[in-house]
Amino acid sequence: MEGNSSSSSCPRHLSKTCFMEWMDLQQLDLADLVQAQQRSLLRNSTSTTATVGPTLSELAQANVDHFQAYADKRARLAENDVTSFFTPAWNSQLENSLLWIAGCRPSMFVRMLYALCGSQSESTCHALLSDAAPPPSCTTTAGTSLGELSWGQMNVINELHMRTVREEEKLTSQLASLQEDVADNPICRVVAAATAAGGRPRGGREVDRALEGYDRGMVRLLKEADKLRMNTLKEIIGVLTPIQAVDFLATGKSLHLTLHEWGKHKDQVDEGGGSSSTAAGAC
Amino acid sequence: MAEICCGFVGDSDAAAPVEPSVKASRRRRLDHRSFSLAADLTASPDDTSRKQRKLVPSGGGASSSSSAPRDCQNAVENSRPSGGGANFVGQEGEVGDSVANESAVRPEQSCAAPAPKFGLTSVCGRRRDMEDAVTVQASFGREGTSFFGVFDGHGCSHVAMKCKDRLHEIVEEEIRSYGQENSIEWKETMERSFARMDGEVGDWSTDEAAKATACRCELQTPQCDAVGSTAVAAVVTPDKIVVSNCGDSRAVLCRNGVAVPLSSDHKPDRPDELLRIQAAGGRVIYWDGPRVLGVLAMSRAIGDNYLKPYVIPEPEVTVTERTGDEECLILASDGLWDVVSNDTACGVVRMCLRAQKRPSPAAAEGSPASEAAVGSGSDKACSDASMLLTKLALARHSTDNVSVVVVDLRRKSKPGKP
Repeated sequence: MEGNSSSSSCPRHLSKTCFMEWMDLQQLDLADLVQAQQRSLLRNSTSTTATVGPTLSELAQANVDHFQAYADKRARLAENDVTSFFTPAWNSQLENSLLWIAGCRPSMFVRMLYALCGSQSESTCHALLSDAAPPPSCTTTAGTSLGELSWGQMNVINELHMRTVREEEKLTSQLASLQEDVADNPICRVVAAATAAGGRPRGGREVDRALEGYDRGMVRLLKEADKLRMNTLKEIIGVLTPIQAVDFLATGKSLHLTLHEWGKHKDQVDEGGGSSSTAAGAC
Repeated sequence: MAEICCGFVGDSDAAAPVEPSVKASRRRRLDHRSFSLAADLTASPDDTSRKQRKLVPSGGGASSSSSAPRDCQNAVENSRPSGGGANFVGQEGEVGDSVANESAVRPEQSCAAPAPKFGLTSVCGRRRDMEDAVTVQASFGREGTSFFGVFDGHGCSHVAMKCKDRLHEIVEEEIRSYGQENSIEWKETMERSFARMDGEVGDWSTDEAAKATACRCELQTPQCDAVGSTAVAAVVTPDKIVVSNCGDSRAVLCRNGVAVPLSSDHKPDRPDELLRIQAAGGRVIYWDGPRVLGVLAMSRAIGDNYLKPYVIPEPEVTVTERTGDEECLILASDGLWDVVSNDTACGVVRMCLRAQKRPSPAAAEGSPASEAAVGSGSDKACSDASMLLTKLALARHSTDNVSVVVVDLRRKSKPGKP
């Protein structure tokens, strides 16, 4: 198996390449998003209407499209190599500990929104209570537009949140059944019979079929989970204003890339191969 | 879109869309059912409510504490019409508009105070299950009277949901037995209403209609008794504010800029509550804070049959005469009060209402859901105020569901302005 991994056409290698390309693309996307945040800030402060580059909503849409393309590609690759998406060797341990059905929990998108939407409430309330001038809004500070999340937006997000949690639970339950099936017949019967006979359990057509069924189930779940992740993301983007969408995507991408870096660094330290100072500083 | 249930009860123009209500409840049942099927039995630590310790037998088994599936149903349901009367689902613009429309069609409007304006926000927040429920009944019972209720469930959501659906109806029935409003014995009325509410919740297992909703507790009968809800209800009449409280949700009045709590939280370590529990033969055990029998972190609640008679459904009732100096009333679950003080909450709402504009400038423009978010005028201010408090609670890392109702009590001096 190790020997195969050097081959550029083996399924595992293709899966890893798919992920690495996705991370590279996310780096580029993040740079574009940050640039757009800055441009938006500049435009607001100078009141110029001239637009250079894509509009905020075009940019947000392009990012969503990239997500979708990645999901589509890995859905194809998973047909031949589904287990490596559930326990990716290319991830850090930290990232793998955060995995839910081969990716992030879609409810994490909502949690991030909750974290961001309160960002300005302290200063807003403070200003109200001290009768001071209104605090600076998103027009003067980059990345804070989600603090302006409106009542209507919040209601839509809340409804989406609860729906998403329900769907997550459904898929989690399906995964549980799938995993339990492995301890059931026919595999259990074959193993028990062989053990009782004092021999070493060997697969057979029946066992192969059961394991293939498990693989197929995981492929289906991966696709379902990716669909839920994509739908949640799309619905959130649909509710947000263009600048909010850009701020949200920028934070999300940055979070993923940063966790990847922190995790890699921590792995190096844990394996005795790196200094711990950066990780401590980072965390 | 969630969490708002603004009903207009007892109105002549109740061209009652009963049909949607029926549909809604049917859909609700189906949702419940499909959700039950998908029940996730993997227990996670945060499944254990902060309010309620799961009863784990000393044998150490987890049989009675098998984690119930998380239920995020009720905030969604909240957005659906409640039974009875013409109902308005609080969608974009409707919360604000509903009151305005309501008072506008009323011929007697000029001689009686219109129902107060309000706004509300109710979110699941950092929890994965929604157990808060909120009801607003504008023009409740009599002219210019409104009913507001916040219910924070524990164990499951069905008791809070039932309170949301029923408590105002029960109170209205109780009020009807009095001829004149000034003859109403509020304390007794509310005590009777809460007792009836508790009785209905207790009948849950025998209630055929309730059975059809097949929530997670019914599948686990012993757990059905281990479900309850706080209830803080305010009846606001043109000259009185009647607050009835049971549990640790809270109502706070802002009068002349001063925060006046109209309810006192029922915590097991409140000296008088502690004595009452002990006199009844119960004990308060400190386990992640004071808890009745080491289980429930409040000393009164609707439901919770297994903790009777230590945990009682009897409300404490305050009747406050309106002097005209009242500015606002805030009802909220502990998701807010755990992290925001009475003074801060009142100050923020008061200034939001005074400003009569969005608390946060440069509001999300061009968003599909933002601009038409709420109705015009001060209702928008109420909604924005409730929203700002919710955001503040989230910013201060409230880990619970957050529900906030803001009622504008200021008397309008300008003629012609609704």
